[in-house]
Amino acid sequence: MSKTSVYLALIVGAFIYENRMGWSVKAAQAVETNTSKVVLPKPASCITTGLFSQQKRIAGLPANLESGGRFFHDCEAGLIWLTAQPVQEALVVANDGSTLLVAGSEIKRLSARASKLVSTIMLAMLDGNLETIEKDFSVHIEKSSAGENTHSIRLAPKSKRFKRALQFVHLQLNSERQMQTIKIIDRRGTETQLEISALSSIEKDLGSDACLNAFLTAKDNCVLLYQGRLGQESNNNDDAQH
Amino acid sequence: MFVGSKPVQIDTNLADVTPTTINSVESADAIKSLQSNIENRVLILLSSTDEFNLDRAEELLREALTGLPNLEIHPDSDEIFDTLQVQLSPFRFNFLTESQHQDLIDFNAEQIAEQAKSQMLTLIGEPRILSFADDPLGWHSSALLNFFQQRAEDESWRLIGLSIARGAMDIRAQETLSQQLDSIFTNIKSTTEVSIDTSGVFFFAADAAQSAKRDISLISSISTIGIVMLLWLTFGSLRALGLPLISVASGVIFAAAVTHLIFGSLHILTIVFGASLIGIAIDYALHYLVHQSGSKERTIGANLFGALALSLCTSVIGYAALGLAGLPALQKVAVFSCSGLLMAWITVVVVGHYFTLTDRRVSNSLAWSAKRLSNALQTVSAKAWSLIVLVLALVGLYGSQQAENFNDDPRVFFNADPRLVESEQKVAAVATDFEPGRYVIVAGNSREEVYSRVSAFTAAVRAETQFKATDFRGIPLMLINEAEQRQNYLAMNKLYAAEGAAELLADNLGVDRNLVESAMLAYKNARDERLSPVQLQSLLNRFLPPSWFESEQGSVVSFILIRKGLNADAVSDVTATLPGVEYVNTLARTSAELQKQRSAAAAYLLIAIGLIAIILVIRYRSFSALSSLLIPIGSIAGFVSLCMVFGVGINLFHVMALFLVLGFGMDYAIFSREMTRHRNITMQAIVLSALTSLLSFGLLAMSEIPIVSSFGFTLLIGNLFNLIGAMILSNPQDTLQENHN
Repeated sequence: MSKTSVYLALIVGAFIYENRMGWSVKAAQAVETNTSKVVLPKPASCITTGLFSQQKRIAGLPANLESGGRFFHDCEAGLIWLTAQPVQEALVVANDGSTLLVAGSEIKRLSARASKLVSTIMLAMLDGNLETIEKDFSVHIEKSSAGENTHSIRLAPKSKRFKRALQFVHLQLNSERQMQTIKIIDRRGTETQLEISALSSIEKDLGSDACLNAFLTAKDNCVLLYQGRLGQESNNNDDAQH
Repeated sequence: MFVGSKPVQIDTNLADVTPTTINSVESADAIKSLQSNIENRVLILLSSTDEFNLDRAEELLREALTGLPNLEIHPDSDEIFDTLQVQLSPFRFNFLTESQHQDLIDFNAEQIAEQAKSQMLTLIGEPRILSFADDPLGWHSSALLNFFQQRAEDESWRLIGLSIARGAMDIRAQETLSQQLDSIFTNIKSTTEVSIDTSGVFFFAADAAQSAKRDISLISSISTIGIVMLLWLTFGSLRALGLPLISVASGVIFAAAVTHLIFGSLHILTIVFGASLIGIAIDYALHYLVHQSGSKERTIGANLFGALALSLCTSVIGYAALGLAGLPALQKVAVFSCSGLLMAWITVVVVGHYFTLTDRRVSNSLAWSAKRLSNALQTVSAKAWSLIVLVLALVGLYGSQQAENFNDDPRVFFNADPRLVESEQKVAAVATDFEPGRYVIVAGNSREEVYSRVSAFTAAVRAETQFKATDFRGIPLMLINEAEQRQNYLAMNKLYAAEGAAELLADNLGVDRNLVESAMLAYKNARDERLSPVQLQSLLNRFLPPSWFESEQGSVVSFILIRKGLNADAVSDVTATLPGVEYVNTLARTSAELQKQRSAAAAYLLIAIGLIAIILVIRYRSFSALSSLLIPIGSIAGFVSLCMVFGVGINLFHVMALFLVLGFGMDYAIFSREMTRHRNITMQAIVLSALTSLLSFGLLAMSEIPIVSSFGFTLLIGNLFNLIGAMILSNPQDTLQENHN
């Protein structure tokens, strides 16, 4: 098992364990289709976790690229998107919009227009706050064929600037927050479909991991520090195994 | 006004009034080409807190501008980038990012394929700007994205670039375009509530041209009315106006034709100074009319002819010296004035007799006033006046040694409208991060030499901890040389060879290897495709001003831009020891050049005085004739002393105007000396001449253009001193005798 996969597993494992996961979900607010105001289901607590599976179709490539993993969302800090299969990497999206991609020892700051837009959509959806999206997207609500509790929302970029990055985004939301689907089609026809499941809220315990918030705020040094600490933990873990 | 069948080209180029600061021919040509490109560029900044208003405003503005014939509208940066990536695609096998370089060293083809696959899986990774068929591994997308650091974008502004296709500096095209743009901006502001700011030499030139136009209109109207009134009061006949009118008109038309023929256009400043030419050209007609009126003779007297000829000589010497300044605009003024004066003089000499007032006497009121003033001035002895002139000359000489009495600030060239400056600054804040007037020039005899000098510069800069690589920008910093491109190409064999990373990626993705075949074939065919700086420059043509220049002989000049706020002195220190690398601070250079030219002009003024002294000695065969020089010398010294007393910093244009003070002063001295038998009449002509020139030059002092007002102010004060000098030097005994007779 590589060092990276060990510490990625540690992020998930240690975090879930130390935060004493709670599975209760507050009564979600339904998506209103009759009014122009769209209300997304709100998370029960500030920290949410869930599983995702991703299917990506690149224009000119006949094969679907599939991946999956887990994510953590902290409403006060941002989002960690951990891909576990078939590659291991972490995408860190801070609430201020800064985005880092951590793969192995390499940390890359992402600044492309599409990255920022996708980050905004992900954060808004997990926060249950569509207002931030409405500023940049025209929202069209459609009745979903998946059932009464499921709604389809089509987001079309409003500004010329954003139209040059994304064609549209399609959200399929379940009012109980059990399953959500996001389909993103970028300007060049690359289609990414995400399915989010096993969504749950967990209690926040600030003492459990002092650096988590700093990690989420995407400060390079802290990411390195956090990685270093995790590296150390994984070494300790290896030692323990020995 | 037309020359042949072509309309007269009226030029408003501000560069004509700034000295050339680069000595090397190649650098000067490169700067000229860069300048010409920049002159035609315009940026329009739309700002609003509402992004959708901005989109609408941009759309409306682009649509409205499309209808204007002289404009080329640049596509937005996204469109430019899309076009560039298509154009650069054939060269994609030459470029690698730093991390790709390292990956080619550290990893085998299998690992690279694995890495490419993970990048494809990333939720929001780098955008793939090339198709899978062209770039299966996504490497070229990254390298091309790295190639152009796209301008930071903001939801609160949009930038539209324009090129003015032709006649950007022609006053007519400028006026029409300026009015059309104003009207479009007003419409868009009112319908979309965005604010609009502009940047570009065009707007400053248009503003300067409008100021000059107002000046021409005001100066020529008032001076014409004033002069007509003065002549009518003096001669009491409208017929007397004929000679001044014809001589001035023939002089101005001839001057315009000659200047246009030599330079291909008339500079707006030439026309402004040309308006002042009326004040000098009219002198010949005035002296002629005053001296010939009442005379039955149809031929010009020998004395009058001699005085007119000598007067022409001294004025031409004065104006010709302007041409020594090295400023194109002043060279045009010199040609315009010398040719105009010559034609006015010929007209007076040839056709003057048709206008003489044979049965009329010139009004004596001027002569009477002049005599009274002259008598008052002559209560002080000639020795005392000589002493005053000597003291003034010494004070002036002392003042000329003190740096604080001079002003070599290049801002003396034009007085920009503060609103335009503010608008320019707003656009600059979002449009560019680089210093506009400070840059590094790297020159060499070949591309290789320039690249090697740029490498030396980069190494020197990297050694300084205060600089970063991104603080500098230029073609040789964006584009690696052709040898390095070839090395990159060869290194990419690991990607596109059989069983290379591309084929392994296809296997890894579970797709047919045929899908990567076209990229492998393209790689093979691109064996000799290298991107040269000249090609890159032509691709970037719409995006950036040219910064790479190659001569037919192979010598190269390249510009490197410096990020704003950098310690310029440190950059200067870095370049000081590097051969072929030169730090340029245009403001400091222009200032230094102005100082140099001012000092040179002062030396030329002394030479002109020396030449006139020689002419006087030859003409009068006596050293006592040199006393005539006391008038202009006293005036020049008086002007310098006054400037010192009132704290007016003397600039190059003050010194240039002193040449004309010298010419005028000599005119008065020559007529006083030549026409000894008619001192009263001569003094009348001198006063009349002085009043006309004070009228025209005095008005120049009120001009909104600093250069013109400096000129006018000097001539107003200097010529007033000339008139006083002429009155002091006129002999009261002779005058009394003449009156008695």
